[in-house]
Amino acid sequence: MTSHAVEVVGLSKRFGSMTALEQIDFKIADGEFVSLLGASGCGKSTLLRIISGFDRPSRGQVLIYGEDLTNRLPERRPTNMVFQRGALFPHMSVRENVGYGLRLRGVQRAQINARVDEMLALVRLEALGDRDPAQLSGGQAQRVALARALAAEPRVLLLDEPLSALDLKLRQQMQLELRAIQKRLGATFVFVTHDQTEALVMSDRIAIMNAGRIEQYGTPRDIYRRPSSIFVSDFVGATNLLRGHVSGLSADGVTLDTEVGTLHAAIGPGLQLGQRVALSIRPEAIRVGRGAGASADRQIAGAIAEIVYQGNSIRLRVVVAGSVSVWVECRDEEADGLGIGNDVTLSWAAGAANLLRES
Amino acid sequence: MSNSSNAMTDRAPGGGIAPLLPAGLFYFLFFGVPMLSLLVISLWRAQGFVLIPDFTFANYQKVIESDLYRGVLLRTIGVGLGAAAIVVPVAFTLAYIMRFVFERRGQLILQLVMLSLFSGYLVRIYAWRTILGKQGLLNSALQWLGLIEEPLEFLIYSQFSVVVTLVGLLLPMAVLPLYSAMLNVPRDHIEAARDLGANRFHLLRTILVPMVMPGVRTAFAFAFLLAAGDYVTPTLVGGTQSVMIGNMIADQFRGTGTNWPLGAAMAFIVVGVSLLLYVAITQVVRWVTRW
Amino acid sequence: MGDEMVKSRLLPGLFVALVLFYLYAPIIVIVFFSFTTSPRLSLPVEGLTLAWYARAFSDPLIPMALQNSAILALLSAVGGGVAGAAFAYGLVTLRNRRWRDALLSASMLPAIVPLLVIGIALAVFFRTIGLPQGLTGAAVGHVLVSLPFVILTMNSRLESFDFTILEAARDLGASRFQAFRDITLPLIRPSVVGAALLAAALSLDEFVITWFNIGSQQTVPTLVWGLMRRGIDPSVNAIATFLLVLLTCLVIGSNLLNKRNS
Repeated sequence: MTSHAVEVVGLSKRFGSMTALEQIDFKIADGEFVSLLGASGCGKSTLLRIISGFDRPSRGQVLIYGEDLTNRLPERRPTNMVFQRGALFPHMSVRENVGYGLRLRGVQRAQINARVDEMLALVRLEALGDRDPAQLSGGQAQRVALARALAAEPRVLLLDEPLSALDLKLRQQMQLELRAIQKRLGATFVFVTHDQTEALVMSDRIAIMNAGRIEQYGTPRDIYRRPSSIFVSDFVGATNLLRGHVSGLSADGVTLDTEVGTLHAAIGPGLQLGQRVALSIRPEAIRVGRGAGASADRQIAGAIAEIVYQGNSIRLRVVVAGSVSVWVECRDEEADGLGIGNDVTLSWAAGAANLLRES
Repeated sequence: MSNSSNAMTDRAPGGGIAPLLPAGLFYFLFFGVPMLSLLVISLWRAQGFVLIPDFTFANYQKVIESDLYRGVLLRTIGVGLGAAAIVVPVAFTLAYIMRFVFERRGQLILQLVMLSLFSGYLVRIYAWRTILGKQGLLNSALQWLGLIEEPLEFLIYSQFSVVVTLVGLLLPMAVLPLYSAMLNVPRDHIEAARDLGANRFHLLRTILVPMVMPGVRTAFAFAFLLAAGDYVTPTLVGGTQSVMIGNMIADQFRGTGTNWPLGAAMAFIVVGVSLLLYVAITQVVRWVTRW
Repeated sequence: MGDEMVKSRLLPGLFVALVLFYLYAPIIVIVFFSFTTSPRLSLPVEGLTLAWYARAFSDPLIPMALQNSAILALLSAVGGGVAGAAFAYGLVTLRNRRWRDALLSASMLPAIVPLLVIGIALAVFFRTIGLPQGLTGAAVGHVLVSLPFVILTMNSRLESFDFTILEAARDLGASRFQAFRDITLPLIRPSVVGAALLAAALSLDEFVITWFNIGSQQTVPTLVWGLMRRGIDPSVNAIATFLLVLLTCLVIGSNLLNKRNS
């Protein structure tokens, strides 16, 4: 009998007249690291608060390991939370913070001590047990918050943007650390973030949220390479959207009439003649050829309008068909000898372009 | 829309209304009900010591039409405005200095200013009588130094002594709201305005005053209301020529010729006039500080 | 620090000194003349004495006044402190922001309505319901004037209270009560005690409402008032100095507790 770690069924949440979540259905498997990714106000934090029990859904259910916990108080749920800014108890030492959950359960002092030692070792803060939270750096405080939540032995750990207050270097280091801890413990983590890189780096699966709905739920690779909507392709990573409509359908593909000319793409499900679509192509998936070539199925011609040096790579803005900008990302040496005003030919592989319907 | 976003960012787990109840009930029972009763009584009539329920504005009319009462009322407003006109600018300057000149010592100065507030209300009024009295400290010191021959009479039992005393009492109450309002003004804003070429006067009129307007309003309200409503100061340091409405109200409730409805009407006229002035002055300040 | 800095701070410093002098001159005078032999409170000073203290504390009304003042201060501290702290807590946890602001403003009213009017309204109210003048009515008045100050100071303390730590406690398995006992209470206790001390100080100093409601009883301020009305009596300075020391201790204690908590 394998039940999912978390199962959310038909969940909706309204605040007054505003809908925060609309018909959310999704499942998280045991031991998975799942990120809820979206801009602020998309409903990701509300969803996490409903799973943790701090908010009640207007409709729908939350199941944890098969048990319906929709109406259970937060203190009686097998979930624990790492809060955005740690939320450490300022009047307790680090050790007291970490042991608080166990103390509430009436665990013996010796056992609490052992568990606290174990958790502090896990987050590499053995030496700071007797400090006050006010004496900790941002990264240390978040490690203590993690240790405190894990010490209570949750079946599911919820993390509400725990790294967002840290600076970039520390954040990147903590991302890897968090991921390593999760793998070591084999625990189920649900991680809320607005940072797409963070989600891509850490997650087994990502749920992209927008306006109270889950737009796409899949592995980072899926999300990046096979975005299911214009929103997702635009939100995760940078992309070029070539807009137009379907002008021909055949067994081997679709002909598109776009703002940069006639293009060809692989067939997608449920496409109709005349339908408004966009072709999404990542900047790094485009190859740059010197000189003006003829437009073809997967090839367009344009002129370089801007060159942005980024250190490890170079971005080119190429103007196609007089007014449409297409961004291309390539390695430094690939752009050798290219200058503003040069004519170029852009092309891409068949699998690199995603055909997305306009909503 | 704003309502729902509030609900989203709510920090507190709803504590319910239970914690509000004890103080809330207390307010209702011992503030709301007595004040409303007094308002009702101001519409009654008094015959000798007997109160006759009625619905008449005769008491209000009497206060406004009687030369004596109207004169006292106008003098009270004058003293209140005079005190506020000194207190608010002085408190504003002090708060500005605390915030922008002595930044780190600001809190310490505030503590000192507030501490004086809690050093005995009666005592401070009494002390001013000691200082300003005919044979008081100031006069005797001046005579001792040979600067004057006869004691200066205007120092005590006059409007002067009333205002001097009130300013000392009210200053701390005005500094507090002004200082906390200025704490909310980022230094950057001041520097940005100067960078854009605002001179000191411009800065004051178009940046600082509008930004600390809530503080100015509170400070003015405190200063004027407490000055106009004070009872002890005119009694102790005011002379017969500086009787204020508070003394007349008190006379209607204590002593021989009591008339509760009349006293109640006076009380609400003071409160009403204060509110009107408060609104009027706020408007004037807003108008002056417009672009 | 350059010359220009020194100069630019000279005038403001002078201004601050002048204002503080103005505020503290009366206090200095009172304390000073409570120790001088001259009964007329004028210069020059001839000698120092503790006689005024002896005379003040041999006043037959002093024990009653001290006792009543202590009772009222205690009632204000406990009643005003606890009810006011609870009210402020209720306010910051209120979900509707508009209600929160409206209730906070309304709770400030007794600080703005002239004390005289409140005193009279209470006196008339107590007369109407048949409560004779005395300590009970005065106590109600004292709690009423202390509430706005307690609520205001507690409110500004609690505004910066991080409520997510209560959620963190609940999340770790604490019930509503356990979270209050383990987290909220230890964190706000110094503030509550500070607010209670403030309420006690306000009560010790309260005169106007007391005077209209206490009847034939005495508190320290009404006693001082009686002595003042009788003319210049240096024993007033002695009692006033005593009161001043008491109030200063309470207010400084209150401030220290609040500061430690922030």
